[in-house]
Amino acid sequence: MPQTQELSLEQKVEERIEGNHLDRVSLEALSDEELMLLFQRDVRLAFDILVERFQDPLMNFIYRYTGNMDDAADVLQDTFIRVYRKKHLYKTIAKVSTWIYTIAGNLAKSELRRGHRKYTTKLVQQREENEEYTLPLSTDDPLPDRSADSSIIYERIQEALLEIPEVFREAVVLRDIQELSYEEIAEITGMPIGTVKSRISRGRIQLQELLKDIYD
Amino acid sequence: MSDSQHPRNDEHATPEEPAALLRDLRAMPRVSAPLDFTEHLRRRIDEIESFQPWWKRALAWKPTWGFGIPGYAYGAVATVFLAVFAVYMFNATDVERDLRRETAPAEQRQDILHEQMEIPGDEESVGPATGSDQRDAAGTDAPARKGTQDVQPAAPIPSPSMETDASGESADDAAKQRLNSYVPAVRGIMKGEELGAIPDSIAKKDSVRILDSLKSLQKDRQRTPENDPR
Repeated sequence: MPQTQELSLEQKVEERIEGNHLDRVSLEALSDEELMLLFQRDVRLAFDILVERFQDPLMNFIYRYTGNMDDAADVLQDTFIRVYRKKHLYKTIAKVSTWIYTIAGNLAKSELRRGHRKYTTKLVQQREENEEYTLPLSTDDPLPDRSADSSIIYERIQEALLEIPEVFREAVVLRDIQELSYEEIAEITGMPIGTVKSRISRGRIQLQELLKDIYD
Repeated sequence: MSDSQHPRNDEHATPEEPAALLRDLRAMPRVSAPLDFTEHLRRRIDEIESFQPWWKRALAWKPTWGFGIPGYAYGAVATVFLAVFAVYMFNATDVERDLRRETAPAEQRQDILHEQMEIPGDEESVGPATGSDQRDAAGTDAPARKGTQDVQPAAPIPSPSMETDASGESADDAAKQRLNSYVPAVRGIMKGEELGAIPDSIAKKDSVRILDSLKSLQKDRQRTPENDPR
């Protein structure tokens, strides 16, 4: 069945190349996998669209994982450079998103092991520096004093995240912040689903222990 | 009970599940990529691409046909094939000999063709005999030679003092001329070396070895019983 799907994807991509339907509007309607196949056939615009799609979620994941804005930006750049250079290694049997997350996760781990963390950028500082950064204000959270409280809580959560072991942190960030499915996390980490669930659960318990003054 | 059904893994079923923590984790603000990240990345990739040498880009070229085998694999196979073919052609052909054969008169062509395969006239039978050879021939080899008398003896080279008849002289001259004109073909890495000459490296090693043995001989002589203080 996946082979049939792959064949149809390949055919669709070939038809698109032959028909020269490679303008930005038509490419933006394509799936990640179709864009990746187009990119493997040297359609650079497909890569640009993939970057636009994944840059923000990946940045968020890497920042929550490393806790450093500069490191996160470097890792993000390295991730896309690696995707660019190793595009031929991608096989259509996997999802593009999990493949890119795997690369980003591996690079983030390497960055952490290198001990590059010079300082920790505070979330509040980052808000001032980066204009694109916006706090998602929902309708049930309209009060400014509540927002101020929340930002303190988020800071505490981020600090607690950096204190728990890396394997738990990765699982919790992917599940509870990035909101990926267990199957996707299992594919990204290369672990069985049972192990992933166990890590998420243990990570949450450790976080709650560290933040018990807030949540008790 | 499978892992997915286990209450520990079901986030909505466990009583100790930190619901408030989960809510805050999901509500955490999203961090965005730096401004103009796409443009910056494009420039960086262009830099990397332009930095790569042309041959590296050519080797990285991966055709869509042939099972997607990288370009360098085809290059490696082609190189090996060419190398084997070149060695074969080098061993199989000798342009110089072929040219000589083409330009030579018809009766000499066969000789030129076979000159690398056989030495015209064996040195033992044709060359001048040394004193020890002559002694051997007179002594121990004599009975053996008797048994092989019916074998055609090789034509001897006459010494300058020895006179032969007219017919024998012309045959001997031809054999001598062939012997003198014989130049064994030396090819490949040995080309340019004088045939039969000892290479410099071996000669140097020999001289060092001789010097060492002379020194050890001298030491041994000093340790003879009459010179030994013990």
